[in-house]
Amino acid sequence: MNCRRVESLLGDYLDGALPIEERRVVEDHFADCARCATAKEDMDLALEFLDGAPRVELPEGLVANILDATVHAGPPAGGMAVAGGGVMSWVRPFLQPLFEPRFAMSVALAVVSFSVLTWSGEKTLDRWQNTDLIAQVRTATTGLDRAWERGVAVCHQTFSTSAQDTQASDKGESASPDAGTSTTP
Amino acid sequence: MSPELREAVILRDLQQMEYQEIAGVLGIPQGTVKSRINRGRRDLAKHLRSMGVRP
Repeated sequence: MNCRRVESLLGDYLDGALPIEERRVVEDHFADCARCATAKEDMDLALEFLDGAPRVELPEGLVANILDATVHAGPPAGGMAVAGGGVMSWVRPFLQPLFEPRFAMSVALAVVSFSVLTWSGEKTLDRWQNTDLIAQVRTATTGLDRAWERGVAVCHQTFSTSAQDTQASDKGESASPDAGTSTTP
Repeated sequence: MSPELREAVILRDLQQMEYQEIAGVLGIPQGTVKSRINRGRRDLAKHLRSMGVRP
């Protein structure tokens, strides 16, 4: 078995999803190939770290709710864990850009990352007590922060446009397409 | 770790999602999901090693 094949099987190997025969072949390869053995050790280390993370303290079903809100027009199953349903019903149109699939996932993951970050600072496990680690995670989250900021910028733009439309319609100018529907044939 | 790798690792190892689900959510093939998870875990391990953590 060559290295490329072993690499493609590594995930299933670690999940314990490989048939016993294939598992043995992979293990024989680790004995002969230092490079792949190191790759496996890296995976073990990463998984040990991730397993040590406490169950992330997200509102129940947050990710599912956000994705559900993206995919379906109706309210998500199990109630809106992101914010109060009443508030969301009128805020939603302004937040719509944030519910695009990529943004929704980014926001959800930013929350997850933040939880991991918080946990890192709690010093619950001696081994992972390391302020460098917190800095590393912070650096890693900046990409998502930027995605969030872009989303908020779009949101502001949408909101201010709507506000202008409202002001215009108050003056009877009917600049908004919605405001003008009653007079449109 | 790049956001692409990190989101794959988080969905798999923290959210315990199946490869197929992750592929659906991210809109990428399952093979890509697996390779991102592999690379993401190795990047994470590199960070940990650089901080002196040993298996």
